Amino acid sequence: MPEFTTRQTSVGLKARLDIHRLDLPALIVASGGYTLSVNRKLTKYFGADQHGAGDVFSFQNLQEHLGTSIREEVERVIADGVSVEIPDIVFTHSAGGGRRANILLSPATIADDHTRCCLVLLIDSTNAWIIEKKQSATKNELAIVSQVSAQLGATMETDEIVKTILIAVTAREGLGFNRAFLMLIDDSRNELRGHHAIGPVDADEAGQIWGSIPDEGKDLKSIISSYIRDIRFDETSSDRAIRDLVLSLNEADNPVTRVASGRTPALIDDAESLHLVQTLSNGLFGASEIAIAPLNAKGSVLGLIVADNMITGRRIQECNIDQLQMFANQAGLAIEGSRLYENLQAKIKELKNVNLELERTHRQIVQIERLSLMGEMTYRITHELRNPLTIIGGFASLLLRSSEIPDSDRERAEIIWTECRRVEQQLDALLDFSKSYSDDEDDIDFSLLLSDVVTMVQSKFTQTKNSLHYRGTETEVPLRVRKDLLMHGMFCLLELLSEIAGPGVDWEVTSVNPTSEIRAEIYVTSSSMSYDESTDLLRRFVEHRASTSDLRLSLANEAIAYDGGELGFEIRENRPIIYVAFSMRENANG
Amino acid sequence: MDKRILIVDDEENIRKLYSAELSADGFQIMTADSGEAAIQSIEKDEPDLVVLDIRMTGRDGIDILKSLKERNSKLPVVLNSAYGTYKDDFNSWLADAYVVKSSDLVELKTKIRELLQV
Repeated sequence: MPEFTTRQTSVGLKARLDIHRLDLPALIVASGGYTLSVNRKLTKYFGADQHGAGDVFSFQNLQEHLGTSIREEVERVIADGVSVEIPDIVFTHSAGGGRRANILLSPATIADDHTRCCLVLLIDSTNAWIIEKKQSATKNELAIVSQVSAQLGATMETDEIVKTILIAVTAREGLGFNRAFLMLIDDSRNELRGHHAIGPVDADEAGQIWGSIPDEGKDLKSIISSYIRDIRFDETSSDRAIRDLVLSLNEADNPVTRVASGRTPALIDDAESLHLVQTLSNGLFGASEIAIAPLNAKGSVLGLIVADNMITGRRIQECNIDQLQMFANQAGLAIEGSRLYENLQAKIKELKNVNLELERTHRQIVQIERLSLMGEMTYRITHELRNPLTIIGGFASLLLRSSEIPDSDRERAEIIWTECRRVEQQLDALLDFSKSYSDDEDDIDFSLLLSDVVTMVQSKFTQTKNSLHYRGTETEVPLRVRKDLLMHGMFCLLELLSEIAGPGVDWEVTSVNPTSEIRAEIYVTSSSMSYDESTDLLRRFVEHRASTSDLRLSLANEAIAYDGGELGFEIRENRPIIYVAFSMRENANG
Repeated sequence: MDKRILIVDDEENIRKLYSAELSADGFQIMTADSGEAAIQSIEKDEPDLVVLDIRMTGRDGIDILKSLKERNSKLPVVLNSAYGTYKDDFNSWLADAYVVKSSDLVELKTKIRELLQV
């Protein structure tokens, strides 16, 4: 056996070498690929020594095993006398499985004839490679989870959470499943109900969907962000189909619902289970392998994620199931958080409404107290005035009927009597208003109230030789007000209208119920007045509602406004109208 | 007409007004400015009808009304007040009529005539 001398040119070392004593697989090759020597470690490494192949194992065999040519590098080492390392050659070992090795090429010389050759050392790094792969996979997994978590943490909207999860499960940069379905548990019915799905139902739809996804070069977070903005679940057949799917949780034999009760993920790949699942899902879950993960939350299961590779047929690995479960756990917690948030929001809204109601009630109480005080004062003042008025007016009346006074004094007595009567009428109106109305609101039919008031005030119009007709709707016009107060207000209003225009005016009252408000409309249907005259009359009437010297109009205005009503004037379809309107929104909470 | 009417009111000018109006219509008029004076007048003058104010200093009209009716339930009494609310007091229902004070005495006179049937 020839001896070889190796040299490390960088340090000028020379050493005599017996490669059979080396602890590493090695061979010596001469220029042209001629194998000079092979140690047993190398033949054993490749399993070539079992059949006596060690004797014929060559440099060529080594290259075949490695699946790559290193001849060029060997020739260079021999020519230049410089060592070369070829790192990370990945190859498939004949015994199965992948291996990785570094090849170290070192210049050598045959001791006998000084022929230059190359020592080839194989340094196996498979274990490190496996660890690196695992590290890389874990790092990738963590990156995905981190991006999904970040996205989930950015929202409390259930719909957005669901979209995030489904996109992450199906995106290439995520778990890369072809399709994902989300089903949620309806506790009240003990059912699992389809919620949303993402992914195609067949290859055609897959082509359309995947063809329209320009996500090359984007990270998962960017993809999720852009999809959440653009994605429309209801445009895919699978989403429509999943929303029709309801599975009873009482069926213990159903492999899908069993995942929910067991709270552990499952890969369904046996023919019997697949057939059952396909039947129960009306063909929707029809892939050859189906991964299912429960949406675990604190102490309960909220639903399931079902994923498959229906279109590509790619095998689902165990690690895919683990990753899916990791996503499902994230989703479960996020959905639970979202539901808690929504409940909290609902409670806050409820509390705000209660506060608003309290404020409103407080305002009402203050208003009622003020009104009550005003009423009491009005009542007392009115009575204090009535006695002197009775006396003044009564004596004026006596004078009027006396034959002893001159005509000029009679006229003055008549003025005194007339004015006293007028003040007395105002006092009557004040007294009526100051009566203690019920503070309770009633649900009334505004149309019916108007009809009653028109009947009550009819005689006033007859006295003034005018007419008043009510044209109401047949349907009920619901309104929540203090009925007596509004009745009185409407009565005062109509009574005054009977007096403002000369005789021969026909009035009409209607109740109108458009979408935004409830209103009564009062207008002239026939009179000797011109359009301009009647417009001017009605406008001035309403404009003076707050400043009028006639207390009845002020009282009518106050009574209408008390429950949020508005007394106003407008011209509509070329007709001047006085209206009393209640906004629907103002009236919604009573 | 010899019907006798007692006017009970603490307002002197009201008494004067009613006296003038009702005597012009032919009634004999007596007046009292308080509840106590009214009781005495009823015992002494035996009126056919009483026009009784409600809010007076001292005993109020409702109280006097009860006394009058206890003594003579058939004596017609017209409650006359500036306050319409006493209509809601069931004690006022003892009265035969209730007229709110007004410078227009038509309603008061009408009630008096109805009750005295004149």
